[in-house]
Amino acid sequence: MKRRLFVLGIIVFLSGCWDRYELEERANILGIAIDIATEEDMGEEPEVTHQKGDFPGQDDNLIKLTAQISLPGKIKLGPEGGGGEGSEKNSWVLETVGHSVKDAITNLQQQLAEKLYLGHLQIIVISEDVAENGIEEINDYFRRNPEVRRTAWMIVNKNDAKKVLEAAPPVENVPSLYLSDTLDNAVRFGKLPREYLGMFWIDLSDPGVDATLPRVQVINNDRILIDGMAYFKGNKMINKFSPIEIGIYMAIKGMNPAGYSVPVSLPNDEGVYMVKAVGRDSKIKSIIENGKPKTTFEVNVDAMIEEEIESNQLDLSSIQAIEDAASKRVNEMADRFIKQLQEDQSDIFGLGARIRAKYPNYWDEQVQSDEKWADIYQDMNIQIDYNISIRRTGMEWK
Amino acid sequence: MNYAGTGGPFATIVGILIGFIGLVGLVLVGKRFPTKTIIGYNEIILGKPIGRIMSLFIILLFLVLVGLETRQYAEAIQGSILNNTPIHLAIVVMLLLCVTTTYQNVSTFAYIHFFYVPLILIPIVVILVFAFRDVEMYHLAPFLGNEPNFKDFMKGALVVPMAIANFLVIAMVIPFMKNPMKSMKGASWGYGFGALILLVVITMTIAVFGVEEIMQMFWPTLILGRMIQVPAEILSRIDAILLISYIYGVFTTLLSYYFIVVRGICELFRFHNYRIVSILAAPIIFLVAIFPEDIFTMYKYLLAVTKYGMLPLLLYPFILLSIASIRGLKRLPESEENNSL
Repeated sequence: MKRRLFVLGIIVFLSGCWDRYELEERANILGIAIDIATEEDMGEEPEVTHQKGDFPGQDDNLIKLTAQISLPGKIKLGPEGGGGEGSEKNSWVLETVGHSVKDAITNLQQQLAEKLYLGHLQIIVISEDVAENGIEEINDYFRRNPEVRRTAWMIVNKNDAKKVLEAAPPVENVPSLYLSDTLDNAVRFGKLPREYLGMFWIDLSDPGVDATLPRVQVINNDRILIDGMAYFKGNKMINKFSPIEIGIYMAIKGMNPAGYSVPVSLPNDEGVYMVKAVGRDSKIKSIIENGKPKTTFEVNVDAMIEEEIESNQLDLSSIQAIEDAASKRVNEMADRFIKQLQEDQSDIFGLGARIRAKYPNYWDEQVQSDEKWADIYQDMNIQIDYNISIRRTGMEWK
Repeated sequence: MNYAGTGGPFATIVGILIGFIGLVGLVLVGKRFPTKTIIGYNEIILGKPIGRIMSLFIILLFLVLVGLETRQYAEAIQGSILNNTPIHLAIVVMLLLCVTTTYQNVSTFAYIHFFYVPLILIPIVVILVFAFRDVEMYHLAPFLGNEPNFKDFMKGALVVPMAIANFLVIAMVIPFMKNPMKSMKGASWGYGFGALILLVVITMTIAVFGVEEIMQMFWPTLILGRMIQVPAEILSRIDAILLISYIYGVFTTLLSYYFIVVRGICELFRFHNYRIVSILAAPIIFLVAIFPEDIFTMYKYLLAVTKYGMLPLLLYPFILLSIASIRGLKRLPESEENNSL
């Protein structure tokens, strides 16, 4: 028995682990930016996966991949240095090119001593050009790789995706972490739907739903502004909407918490009131009428007044007037927003999916595919009934 | 699930009912011969030569099933966490574990199952609770699936009994029960509970991902675990926990099959040294496990085994039952039984 235990002990304690990689031997990729590579960029393409000009298939997906990596134990983290050094020295931004994401990652690995690790990937930035060209080829690698988290963010940048990774906030050691915190907290403030990678993929593959992605803009080279969202038709980005329209989008989908404010003014009055949404509730009613789909959004928003400028006259009657004015104003905005979406044939509210779920016969006979649905959606009758109720006005009585 | 579309949950219910019918059959036959296992009453009902051949088929079926299930488990492990570890190792370790536990007596076997139940269930429940806020109702409707098609629907439904096929172990343990006559109640409860969990897991997975997305994945529930965010960010990835409970689940399933194989062989050949049989069975199972070239071939075999092995097996007890009643066979008198052992 003793001998057996001894042998067992040897097997357990003296054997290694195949998948052992110490933290110091890993290059954690925290952020990836994907741009379209120009001819000039491709000139420096290393011959790692194939020889020059020998890439099979259509050769039009040239990408420039920028990765922000942190090397624990090698790049010094923690508060040190002083003198406003910022965070650009704490991580390493590398750039490489390739014909696909994996091709570029392979090229990147060829340049590094540590094993690339995607388990801490926080953020994938794509440029608008890449998004407009179609995103399917980029997603495949990230879906297949078991290390990538589905709670990472994918965002679209107006110009150069690389610039986002180069933005170096002075307050956080690792830039990508700050960027992903910006997005995570925007969700908590009700400024952004929880549209992270996993959700984006689900919307992308659902029939009758089109996907959205947060869109950002780099400010002053050290932070990002959440500049609305980009929306897709199929897997191609088609247009974008502004931050205030995110509020409308989230209200229509009934997502809480709410966080956007709108300025409202009353007729015959100089005062401007900032009305902030605090809670949203929405009913989406899809019906088929005379063989045509029709949808009504019933949105109820609880709000509060946060500011009153050039006026001092809040009371019961004026509150009601403000409610009406705010509802009207938002209704108009929502109408324009929906018209635009219909024109672009992008069904980001999942109206098609609701019709498919509720009227399977109609869907099976008349629609069947996303393309057909896009045509029907374009001319669909969509009504919106937006109702704002002001509940409180802060610490001031008047 | 791939066949039934949004009708997945309904197909699951149908599949569960089909499985339940098989279970009822097994228990009924078992109650008729409360001191015999399936190997034993095979011989009594069908006569020695045919009965033994049938028993051999059943044992072979489970032997192959253990192998393929082990491979499936190993693929999941390698594909998701242990990328560089040779797949043989995952298989060998799991088989070693099964070998060392299957030659224990039946009560140990029962206690092992009893012990692991909470460890399997708690993580699943946790994940399902947190997945609730990502549910979209339109993923679940229409209840019958778009463009319902009976053939595809049944194809989907028939995969289900396979997922909970370890209930078949009841055929081997009835004689060991304290009160075999009550086996119907216990079996129904156990099956009902397992089936409920399966139904909820499938429904939730479809509700979160939608059919189109699921069809692109190998292991949707595992990915569901990767998507969940626990409030307050105590754990940023709970898929590891899910994976551990999956390992327990696989272990108990494999253990059941292995148990059938070992006990079956011993009874068939009247050779009651479980230890030797279970050790000798391991290399064969290992060979079965490493036989498929790749993950797609493995699933092809697994589906074939389900289709041509498990499904006939669900009907089999009824055939036994009808033959037994035609031949007017009841429980054998005690004395004769002792002789046949």
